[in-house]
Amino acid sequence: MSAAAPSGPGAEVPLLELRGVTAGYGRIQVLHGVDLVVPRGEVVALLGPNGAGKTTTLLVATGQHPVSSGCVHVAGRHVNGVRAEELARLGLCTIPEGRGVFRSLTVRENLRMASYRGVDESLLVERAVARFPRLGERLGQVAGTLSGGEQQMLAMARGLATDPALLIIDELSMGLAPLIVAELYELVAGIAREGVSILVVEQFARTVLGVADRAVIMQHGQVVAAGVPADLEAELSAAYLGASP
Amino acid sequence: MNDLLSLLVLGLASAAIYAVAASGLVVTYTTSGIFNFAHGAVAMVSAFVYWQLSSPDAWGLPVPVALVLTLFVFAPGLGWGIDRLLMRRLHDASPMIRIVVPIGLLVALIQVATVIWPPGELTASVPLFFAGRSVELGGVVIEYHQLVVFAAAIAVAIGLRILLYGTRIGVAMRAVVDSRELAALNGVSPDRVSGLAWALGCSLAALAGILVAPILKLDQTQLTLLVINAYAVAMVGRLRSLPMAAVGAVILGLSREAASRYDESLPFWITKDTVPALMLFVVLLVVPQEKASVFRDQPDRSSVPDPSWRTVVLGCIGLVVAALVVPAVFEGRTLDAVGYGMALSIVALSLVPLTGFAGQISLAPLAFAGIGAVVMYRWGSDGNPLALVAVVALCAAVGALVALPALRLKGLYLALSTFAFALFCEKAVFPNVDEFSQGDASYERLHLGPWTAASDRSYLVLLTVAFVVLALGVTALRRGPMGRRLQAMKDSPAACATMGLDLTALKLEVFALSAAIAGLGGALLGGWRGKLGTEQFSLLAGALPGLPLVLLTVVGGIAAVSGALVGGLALAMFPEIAEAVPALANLMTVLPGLAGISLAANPDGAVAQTVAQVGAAIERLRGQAPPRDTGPARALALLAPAAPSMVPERIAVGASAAGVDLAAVDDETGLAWGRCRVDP
Amino acid sequence: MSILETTEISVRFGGHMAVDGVSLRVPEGAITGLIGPNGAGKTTTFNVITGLQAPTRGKVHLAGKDVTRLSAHKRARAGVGRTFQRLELFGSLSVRDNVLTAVELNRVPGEDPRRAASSHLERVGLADLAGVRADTLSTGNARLLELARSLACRPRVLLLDEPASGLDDEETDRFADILGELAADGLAVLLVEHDVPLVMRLCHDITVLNFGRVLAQGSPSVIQADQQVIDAYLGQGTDVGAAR
Repeated sequence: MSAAAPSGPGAEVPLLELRGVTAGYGRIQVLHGVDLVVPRGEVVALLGPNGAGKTTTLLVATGQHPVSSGCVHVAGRHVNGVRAEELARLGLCTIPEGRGVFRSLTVRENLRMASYRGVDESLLVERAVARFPRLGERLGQVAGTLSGGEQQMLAMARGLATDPALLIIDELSMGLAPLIVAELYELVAGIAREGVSILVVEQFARTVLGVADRAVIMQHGQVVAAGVPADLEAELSAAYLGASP
Repeated sequence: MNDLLSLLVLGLASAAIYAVAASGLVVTYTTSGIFNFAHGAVAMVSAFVYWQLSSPDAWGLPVPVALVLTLFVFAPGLGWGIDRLLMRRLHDASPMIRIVVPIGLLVALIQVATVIWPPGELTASVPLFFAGRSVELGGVVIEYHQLVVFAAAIAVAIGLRILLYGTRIGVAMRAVVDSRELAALNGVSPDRVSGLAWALGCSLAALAGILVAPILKLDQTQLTLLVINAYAVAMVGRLRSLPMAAVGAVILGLSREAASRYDESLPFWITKDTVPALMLFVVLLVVPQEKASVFRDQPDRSSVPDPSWRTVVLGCIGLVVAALVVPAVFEGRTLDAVGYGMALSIVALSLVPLTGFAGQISLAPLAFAGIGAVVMYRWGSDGNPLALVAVVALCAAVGALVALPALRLKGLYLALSTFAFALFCEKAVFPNVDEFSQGDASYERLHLGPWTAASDRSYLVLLTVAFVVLALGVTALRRGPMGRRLQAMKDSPAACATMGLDLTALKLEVFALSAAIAGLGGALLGGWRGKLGTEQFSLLAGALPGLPLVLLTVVGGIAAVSGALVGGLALAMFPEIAEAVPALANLMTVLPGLAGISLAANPDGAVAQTVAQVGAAIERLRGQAPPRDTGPARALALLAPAAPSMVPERIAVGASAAGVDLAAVDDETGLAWGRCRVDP
Repeated sequence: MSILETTEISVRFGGHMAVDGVSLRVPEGAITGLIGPNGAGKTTTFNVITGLQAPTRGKVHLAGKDVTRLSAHKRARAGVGRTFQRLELFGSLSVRDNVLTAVELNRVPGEDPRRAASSHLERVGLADLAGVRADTLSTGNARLLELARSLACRPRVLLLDEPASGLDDEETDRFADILGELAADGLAVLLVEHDVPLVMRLCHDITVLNFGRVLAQGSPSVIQADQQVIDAYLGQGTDVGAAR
């Protein structure tokens, strides 16, 4: 969890770096100095019970929520105050919680929206279908009528079509059956093997720990533990259930 | 058969225009979450601009050039400007401000158009397209203009379909409608899409205005009101569905035509003019409200001032003393305006508990005042004060009756339903009360036994005392259990219900109370003026229309009795100031609308803002400066986005505009960031 | 004797079962826990009990009386009080007026409303903040104010929706003490809370929801040992990691 030096070749610059970030809503402070680093080519899981500040951390990292103090760096660039759509055009790819698709648009139109991040429209569908063949059969279908798992696949397909260096996923498993969650995480693992860095926020810690290189546990708006998954089992049980099972 | 066919042709021709106008409303509402009350006014202004450009009496440009300039330059520019300068600031505004600012724009546009093209001096008209030429179809003559209208509507429908489903920017518009946040995460700028939607929406309004202008006289209010028909039409599609709006347009077009044809056999309250209001009211009740808005439902956090009793009582005494002095200083028109303003202040006071405390938005205070005036005319035109009891009872009953179906409506839908009610009163109720319809209903001054408020001074004092008593009552209400409940209902209806509060009963009570106060204002106005009529109680037309009264009260600070006083007096005094100082005449005409627009930056109203500023200044002088959430501070925050709190210490992406070459940076750091990794 | 009882309540939103046949018993003088992952249907269950959401199926009984068709405010008057996960304070009113409104709506003859409001504020430790606007409170104090306000309604059953989220350790302790006192006074408390350790500490009986259904019911030790509950909270281990 050490901060990479800003100088030197790009490989050492973490793709995402939060330093001492505080943020809040109105007078209510939610994040109290969060440090978080996503090194190049790694999968980082952000864990913690509800209300710990995970989602706010993501909103801050993706430019959807202002930072009160501290700083956010994306690929070595200071991006405090940069708007979400500008970060997106830079290649930051985010799959927000629960609803990563435009429900009233068709699958094809959903994919098409990725073109605002600077990819040729003709390539988009081709790439998405190559990765997720199941979507190919449903290009004309309205996204809201897809199953929950397919919607997440579509969201991932749209995100990955621009070949981002960093993928941020919030609550991938939200409301989905365990089998589908397992299938989705297999996809995530596949994407990670291609060298894409991934930051994934997850309620269900164990599900994601099989995929993650590192895990960060948040509680009460602060990072309380960080490390490799194997070391964190005990802390997790304590944070979630109050006793080791 | 021919009859039916010609009804169909005429009805569909109107329907086509409504559909064009309504599609503009839908486009702007869905992408920005702001209902454009000023849509009709944009249509009206565009029609005037088109006349200015094309008419041989004016600049005399060829018709195609004028059309292109109006539809593709002026209207889109206006729409873009409206979004950029006003609507974009309303993202975080309370529901009331999101409704009132577009109404301010509506009033301002009408007033600006009145200044540029004075109604009296100008007998302008826009000719029909291909005037005089027509085809005959099955024995029915169809004018070329009607064919143009049909063609335009079909072209708009096809064009919108292609835009929204076939082009990238169109799909992006639908994506923004679906989810602003997600669109931004995909690199679409929701603000730019909204700007485009406003440009497009205003262009469509302009088209509707140009098509409808030849059928009507070129008149500011007529044109504006006609496009208001589009409200009802768009509401059929819940302000979201273009095809449903088209269906609504056909229903409205045909029923208006039928209503005008079978006028004799219909009840008096169903006419060509009342059908839109009736349809709007019915559609609002039938069409389910949106459960979850795409746009964040901003809680109304406007503050309700809580002045000390000392301040209120001193203010009241001062007011009565002023009423005693004013008749000695002023006379004639000015004195008349003061009394008028006092009565209007009573009407505006009706909004304080209803809108100020309870957050229930009503655009119909003047309509209730009109009902009060009608009741007074029936039973108390001889000055019998007992009739005031009837006024209070009947107005309260009507208020509750109107509120009953509207109970489940809130925010914009409630505002529109009160709008429909006011329009209905104006078109169906007031014109059917004998002398009242002619503006010739005469009133004598109130008398009680031997005592008569015959002189201007005594009647002005009477009006002022009435205001003061009601204001004290409203203040007492504010500080008592009912006031707390009203504010609690505004802040959280769910919490109220789970605490045992009967929301239905409370809403009925406050609507009835508000209507009664407004009715009293209207009734008392009769004795001051001597004669009253429909003209005094209109929404938009006439010297002192209802919408500007609501606007000025909100500007004055709708949560305080002082706001009502400011609103009423200002509306009555502006024309007087214009008369007295001709140099200010134009400014005074435009001021109510501009004041409404200014709320975009100052949601608590001018009075509240001034009080807050003065208070803060005094505290500062005393050396105990508490950070205060004042209007200017909020306005500043609106104008300037939160600055990055840290000095960029590495390479600021945001600085790319300042000349940093990102590609070079990427090369330097060895990153493929910012571009796509294209697989070999 | 359970004062509040739900029988097989279900709520369907479109094609999605938010709550699916949930039966609960809430006895007097005890704290009953209702836990489960996000989207498990806890808040919807609360809405059904308080009358803000009509159930598709099932019944709600209060003190043996069927209240399923009673409107929300009548249920409140019958003794169902609640707080909200997404705070529902009267933000433009002062802290005191928030409680005062509740006292006035549930008045007991002969009681001084202002004094009653003050005593409720003292109980939760907000007496010093009585004069400030409610929307300026921190999350912790706002939750305490919601608690005070719901107590001012003199409930027989109190439903608390994530009352401890946003509270710091000290505030959580104070809150736990208050809850203990309330239960000792004979109040029935139904507690939804994400801070599971806290629930384990406070509750005698816990119901776990997942995907709208009851996953497990029992004492804290039973729940902590239940493999299904552990899976629901931590997720099942996936074997994809092995491939890496």
